[in-house]
Amino acid sequence: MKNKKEDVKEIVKVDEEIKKDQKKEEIEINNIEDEIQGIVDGCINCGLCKSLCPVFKIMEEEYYSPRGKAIMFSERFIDKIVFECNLCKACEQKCPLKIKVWEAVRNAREVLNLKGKELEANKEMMDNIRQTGNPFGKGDKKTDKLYCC
Amino acid sequence: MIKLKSKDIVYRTDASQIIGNPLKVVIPKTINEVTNIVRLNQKIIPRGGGTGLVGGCVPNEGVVIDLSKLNKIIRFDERRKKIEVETGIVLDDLNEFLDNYSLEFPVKPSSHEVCTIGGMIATDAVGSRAIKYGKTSKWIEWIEIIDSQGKIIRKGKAEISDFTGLEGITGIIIRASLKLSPKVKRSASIISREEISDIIDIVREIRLNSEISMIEFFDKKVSGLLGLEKKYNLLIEYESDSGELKGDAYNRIMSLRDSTYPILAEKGYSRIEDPRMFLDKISDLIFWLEANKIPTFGHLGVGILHPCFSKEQEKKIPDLMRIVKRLRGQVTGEHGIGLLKKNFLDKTEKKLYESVKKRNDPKNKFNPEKII
Ligand SMILES: Cc1cc2nc3c(=O)[nH]c(=O)nc-3n(C[C@H](O)[C@H](O)[C@H](O)COP(=O)(O)OP(=O)(O)OC[C@H]3O[C@@H](n4cnc5c(N)ncnc54)[C@H](O)[C@@H]3O)c2cc1C
Ligand code: SF4
Ligand code: SF4
Repeated sequence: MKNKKEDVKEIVKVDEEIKKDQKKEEIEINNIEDEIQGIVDGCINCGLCKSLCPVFKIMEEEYYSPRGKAIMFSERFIDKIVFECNLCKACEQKCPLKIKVWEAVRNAREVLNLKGKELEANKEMMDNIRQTGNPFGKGDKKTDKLYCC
Repeated sequence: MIKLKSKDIVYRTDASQIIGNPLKVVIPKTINEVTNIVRLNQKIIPRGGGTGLVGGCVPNEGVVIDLSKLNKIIRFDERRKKIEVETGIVLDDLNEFLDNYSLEFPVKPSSHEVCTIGGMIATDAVGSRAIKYGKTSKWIEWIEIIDSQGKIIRKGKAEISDFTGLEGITGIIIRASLKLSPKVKRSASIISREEISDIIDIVREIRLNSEISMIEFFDKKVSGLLGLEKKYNLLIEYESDSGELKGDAYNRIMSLRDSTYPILAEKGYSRIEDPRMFLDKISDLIFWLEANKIPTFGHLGVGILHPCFSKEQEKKIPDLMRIVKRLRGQVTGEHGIGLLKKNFLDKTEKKLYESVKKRNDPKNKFNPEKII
């Protein structure tokens, strides 16, 4: 049987480990944010990428444009709007400076995941993958094979 | 500066990269909504494609009104070659529609894929085909504007000069009737020369040729960056198949031409200017630019040059303006004044703008702090 002192010691240890993990996660988030900022660093705001972005073409609001996303990232502002992107790379193709906004978007999604701010639909999809091996949650058996893109 | 923590951050700047702060952003879907916004707010910044290079839609605490969703074609008269549009329509989208009828809106800024008709009217955009087609205002039959009380008023040809080139300081241009031109087959050629005097002679000789719709110039440094022969180069567009570059090769060179400024900006030369000069004075300016290692290109056919400055070179911009004025040129040929060029206006120009502003927007509601 553990005595009270040992219990406290254990709690302190667990607490320290949690803090260490949190610190690690913070550093990881910070590193990814640095990377995101670096990707859009050369963007000159010319807006030419808007002409090919399929999401902007439908939404017609600057928030959804590759340029809009690049501006947000340059200020380390990450919003759930990053889930409104097909990762189709048309922006990179159009950009005279070949800025990879799509890559920054992908990294930004990782930041939101690490912060626990992913979309409900994403959470559901990841749970499905973990439980059934596919994003749709089809089948009831747990599997070690994952079916995803 | 207030640190904005909302996605409205994206509306704090435009292609000028000047940073402002929007109090609010609204993106109306109908003209009715625009009139209500105008009635209910004190400080309004109209915005089209946000490709302006002088900070024309950079907000200072006002309400940014993004007109991109007001992009309908209202009426099209193929026979009379006229079209009525809402002004948020993007130039290339308009021309894609007109292509079905072998017509086009012929003024073509290099930002044609994203700039709106509203932005083009408000800046009286010029572009690479100016030698043949002139400025945007030449192709306007009438415009409808929303005034400071939220009333919609139609302005005919004789009255549009209070709005074209006024960069949104006199009202919101909401609808326009545009004249169109038949679409023609085009081709292009490149001419390279070692001496600037030879280039000027060629321009003088060909610029009145009605077959030619574009004479673009690239100095030696810019030519090198674009992968052209490292001489002075002219890109000449023909409205026939007289040019050597046709089809895909023509499209490629035009797209390279549209990328010139972004390519220079990426190399650090991100501050673009747009002086306009008489052809016989241009070589003096080019010599000065070369002596100061400032790369330049432009619409030489109409005397507009685009010197591009790096951060360290920006302190030379007042010198450039002094030289331009001394050579009897204009400090801006196409991009406008916005926030960037206010200080380079002389007293008479300022007075002129002030009186137009007072006449149309006495309460200073529209795009305050721009131009004057
Ligand atoms: C890569 C690149 C190349 C360019 N090439 C050229 C060129 O060749 N020739 C040229 O002339 N310009 C050029 N420009 C500058 C710019 O594209 C033009 O000035 C264009 O006309 C702006 O259109 P916009 O819809 O983006 O306007 P915005 O940038 O949104 O606005 C420009 C100004 O117009 C006002 N405005 C916009 N819409 C309205 C409206 N409906 N009613 C009232 N005011 C309004 C704004 O308040 C602002 O002052 C270029 C820019 C870039 C980034
Ligand atoms: S990758 Fe995303 S931002 Fe880029 S063009 Fe495609 S949808 Fe738009
Ligand atoms: S991502 Fe490229 S095309 Fe888009 S605004 Fe930035 S520099 Fe221009």
